[in-house]
Amino acid sequence: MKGSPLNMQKNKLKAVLAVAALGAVALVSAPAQANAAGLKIAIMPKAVNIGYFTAWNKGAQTACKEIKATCTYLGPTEATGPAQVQFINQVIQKKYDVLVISAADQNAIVPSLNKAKAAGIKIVTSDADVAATAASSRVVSVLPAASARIGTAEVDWIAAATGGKGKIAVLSAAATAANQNAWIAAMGPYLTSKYPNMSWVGGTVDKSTFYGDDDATKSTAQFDAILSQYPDVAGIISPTTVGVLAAAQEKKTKNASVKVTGLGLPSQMAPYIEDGTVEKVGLWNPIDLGYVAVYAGAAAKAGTFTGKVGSSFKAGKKSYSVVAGGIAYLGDPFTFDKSNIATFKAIY
Amino acid sequence: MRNLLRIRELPIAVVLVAFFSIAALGNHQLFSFSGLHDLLFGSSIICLLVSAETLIIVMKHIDLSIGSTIGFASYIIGKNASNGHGLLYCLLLGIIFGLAVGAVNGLLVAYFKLPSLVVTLGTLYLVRGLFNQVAGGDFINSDKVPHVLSFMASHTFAKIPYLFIVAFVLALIVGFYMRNFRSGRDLYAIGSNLPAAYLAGIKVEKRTFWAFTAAGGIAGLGGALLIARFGQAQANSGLGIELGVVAACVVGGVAIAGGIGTVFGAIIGALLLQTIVLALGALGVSQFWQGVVNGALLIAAISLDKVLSSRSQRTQIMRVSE
Repeated sequence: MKGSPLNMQKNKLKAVLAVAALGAVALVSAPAQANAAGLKIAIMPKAVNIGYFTAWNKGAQTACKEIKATCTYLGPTEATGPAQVQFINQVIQKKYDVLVISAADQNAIVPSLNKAKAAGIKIVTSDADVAATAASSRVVSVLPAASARIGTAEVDWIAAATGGKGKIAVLSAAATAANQNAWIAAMGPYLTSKYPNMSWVGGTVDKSTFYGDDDATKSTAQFDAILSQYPDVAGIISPTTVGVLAAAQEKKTKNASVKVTGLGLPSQMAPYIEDGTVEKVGLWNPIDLGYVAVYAGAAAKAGTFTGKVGSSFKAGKKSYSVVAGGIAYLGDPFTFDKSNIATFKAIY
Repeated sequence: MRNLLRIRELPIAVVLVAFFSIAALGNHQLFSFSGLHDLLFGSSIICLLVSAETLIIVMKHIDLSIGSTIGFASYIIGKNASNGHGLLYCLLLGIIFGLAVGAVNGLLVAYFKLPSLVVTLGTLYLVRGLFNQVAGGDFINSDKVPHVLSFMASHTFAKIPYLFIVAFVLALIVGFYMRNFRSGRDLYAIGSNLPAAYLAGIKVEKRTFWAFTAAGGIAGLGGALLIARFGQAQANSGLGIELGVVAACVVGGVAIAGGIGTVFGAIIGALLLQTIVLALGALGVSQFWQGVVNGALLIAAISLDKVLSSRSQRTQIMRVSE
């Protein structure tokens, strides 16, 4: 019985719902599109002379073209809060609609941001956020990945390199580095629970962590120390660009069999990925950070996005939702291997 | 036998062998060829720089600028190599740069009579500042390092790393010069008794100037080893390395009070410090304790030196009175 009343009702309901949904989308997206064209958006890095931010701006400019906004890349030449403040004032005077900013100082720029907010400018921090206590000064912060996921993703990469077995060590930055410590703390239990055939060389992740102080010489020495102390080490995770580079170089020099992965800049890691010393490293993609932040800012200005926890906005094909703290995460760290390193080494 | 006992380097050599053996008992990895290779390879940069520093310390001076010089030289070499210049040209530029920094040090210390500690502390900051200004966020990657250099970093001759061979050959030359040449002996005379050196007709200013210039040149050459060793050059290259060099010299019997010590002693000192790093690491001692042990060893070395030197002074006095 195809045309039972019940089914017909269901279908009707579906049709009504579909029309309603379409209408809602039209209602929501139409003004956004209309308003976005002609928006004046300021893109402000910590400092304009840093290659990483050139890539960040590239993503922002792509988004600007897509929404037909006018984007200006402006900022100081030294990455300090006071230097940024002058440029924020400039943004206020010139009546920009949206400010996308990577905070060079999480406190010093807050009063200026509040002034900008009062002037009706929608602020989105991207790459680096203001202090948590000042979260109300911006609509949302677009950040790479949740701290825990940065750590656990690296465990997944080393597991892929070692075939999911063997003993693992960590070559970190300074013992006091807050970021690294948070990532490493997340690695510990994750490796133990997810990879039963893998373990930490020192028993626990704390006892398996060595500190290279983000210094090439010291990181190299600590890589050597790991190898001599634990000759059976199967993999080393280095969650810092200086450390993973030193580890790759020393692995190559010594022709060591230990697997290496971590957070690395594609331009620096390219030779080692191309010659097979390292299979894969990851890092967030500054291009995506800039791209998504511009969409967040435009949506906020259009009134379709509030920045409240649970609210969401679209950037290109993907939708991003806001989690506790007023933060939208891009998702997993971006990874580089032989397939894409040629493209990214030219970018950052 | 008595002659053998009077060799200053002997005690430190004995300590080195003893320490290495004890550590190797605890971790067999150390006593293997790879352990020895690690030791020589890991200390090759310091071993090269002690040749420069010994020239200076025996004159009762000090050169703290070599860390900045070797770092900037490594960048100069790497930058020019990545711009397509040949290795010899790059090497020459690095050495000339080092000589220039050394000449500035030498000029100020020898002719303007300024204290070397302050002068070279000044050039340490000055050169590092210039380096930061020039290099900025620039990064010389391993694929830009001249092929000969990266080959030297990853290969050995008769199981000895090439980098160490370079450092050792240089030490042979400098050591031979300091021992056998009149001008080399003058450096000891300047350091042990300056007024006497003047009275003996030694050209103190000239010797001091050229010793500093040579030390700078060695640091410039060291830039090639540094970029070979680490496969990279950036504004932080060589940061703080000078203190390790001074430590190696002192532990190796080059008296900070001047007039005593050899390049070979300093090399043994460098090897001993490196052995401690490797051994403590291999034995699972936390890396923070390694700094404690290195510091204690430095103080022990200088204390031992004090005891030995006062004793040999006494024997000398006794001999004179005989």
